Amino acid sequence: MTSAEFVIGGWVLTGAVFLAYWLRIQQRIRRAERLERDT
Amino acid sequence: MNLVQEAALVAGKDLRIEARSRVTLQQVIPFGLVVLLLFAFALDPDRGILRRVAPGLFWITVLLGALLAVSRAFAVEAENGASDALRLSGLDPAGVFLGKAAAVAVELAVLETVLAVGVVILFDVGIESIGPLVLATLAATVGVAATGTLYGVLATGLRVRETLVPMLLLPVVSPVLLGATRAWEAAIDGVPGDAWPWVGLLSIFAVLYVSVGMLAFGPLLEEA
Amino acid sequence: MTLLKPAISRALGWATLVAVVVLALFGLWGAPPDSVQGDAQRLMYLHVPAAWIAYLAFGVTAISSALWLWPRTRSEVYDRVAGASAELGVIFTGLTLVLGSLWGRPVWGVWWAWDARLVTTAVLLFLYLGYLALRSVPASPDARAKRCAIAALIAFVDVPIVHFSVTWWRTLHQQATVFNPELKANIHGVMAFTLWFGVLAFTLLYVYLLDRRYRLAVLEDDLDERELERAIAERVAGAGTSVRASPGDDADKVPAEVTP
Repeated sequence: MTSAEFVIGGWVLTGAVFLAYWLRIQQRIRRAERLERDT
Repeated sequence: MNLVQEAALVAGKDLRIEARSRVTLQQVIPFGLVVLLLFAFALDPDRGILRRVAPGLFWITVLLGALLAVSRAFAVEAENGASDALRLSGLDPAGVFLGKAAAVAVELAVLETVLAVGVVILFDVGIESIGPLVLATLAATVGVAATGTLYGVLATGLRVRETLVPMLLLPVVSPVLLGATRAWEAAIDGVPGDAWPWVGLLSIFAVLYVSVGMLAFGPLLEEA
Repeated sequence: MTLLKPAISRALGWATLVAVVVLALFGLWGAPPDSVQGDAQRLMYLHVPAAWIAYLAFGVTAISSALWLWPRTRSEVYDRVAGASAELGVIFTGLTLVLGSLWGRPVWGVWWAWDARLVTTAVLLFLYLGYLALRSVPASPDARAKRCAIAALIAFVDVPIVHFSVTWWRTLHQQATVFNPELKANIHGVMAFTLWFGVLAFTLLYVYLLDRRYRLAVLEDDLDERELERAIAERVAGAGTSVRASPGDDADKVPAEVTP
């Protein structure tokens, strides 16, 4: 692997991790809000 | 009763239980010796390696033994609902903490003595300077016992206690492992004077966590 | 219900997005490659800010925990902030270590170095994981909050000791390691700007995610409490007794462990 691949890999990984985490939080929030409305 | 008397009372109780059940003697110490043996299997008793890493192996084994000792210290309370009795006894929680930690420390000291003999014999270790060694070991033992007792009460009553306490305790006592190993290395093969700064670090750790324990034991016991 | 007003939270979200994009532009293109490390150095623009936030999040957890423990300031808000910050902290700490590996490999040929900072960060990761493990044990909110708060402070006072002992250990054993994540001597101009901008972008990201995670905690805690009340009511009704269960009565008296 060249230097560039490590760099791109690192940046992509970082972006992916935060994107995934954010999406998951948003999903759980929406689900919880829905459940709260339904009760 | 003052704090010291209460601590002595609790320590006495725990050590009497130990004397009658002999768990440390019959289980924890053999466990420690087996671990030393396994290290030899794992690291190939080319005498050179084992001798060099003996301090580290010793202290890792002590830490593993401490996990068992701490687990035992709170298991005896869980049996027969003793922890409720402890809570209602009117004893100052700080005193109870000191007592339990002291009992654990005594058990660890016995374990360490046996393991030290084991290390000298099995790993061919010669001890140059005993002063810094003993003081480092003392400070390290108090630190580990205090921290272990603290996490023991924190996790007491939880079903996942047995897997939780090890993963909570070991990272926190990593500086103790570090300092004690370095102190032993200095006392065994290096310049004994190098050990003293580490003894200082270990002492600070011990004082700190004894203090934290005295403060936190009460609130944590309420939740147990 | 949230730490920030919804409008501010939304604005922060957008600001974070913009900041992250700008950081990427500078980090991957605007800033020049390092004279010694080449392009690999571009990972530093993520690794260092991540480390910064990892420790910041830990501090927030500790302070929140202390505020919860102090009777005069006790509030479930602080407990939830502590938990949310710890979860974020794990992510930033893990990322710090992985990015450090990805940076170290092309530059120094090693995936890991026993450098004081990395080792301390590794210990921090385990302290965080321990806290989260403790937090996931089912318990009444107060019991959980108390246990976690004390655990957080135990860990917090440990970090300086770990840092000091490890630093001292590694300086005494300064062998062939030339591993120096800082290389501050070479940082100036656009590179320095990018680095600081990275810290800013990550701070915005942290605050935004903290707010979101906090909101989630509030919602889920509310749901759990209502589930509990319903289960208790059902149990009492099912027992066929004439005793009415009023919510709030039994909620405090549940055993330390409740299986959902």
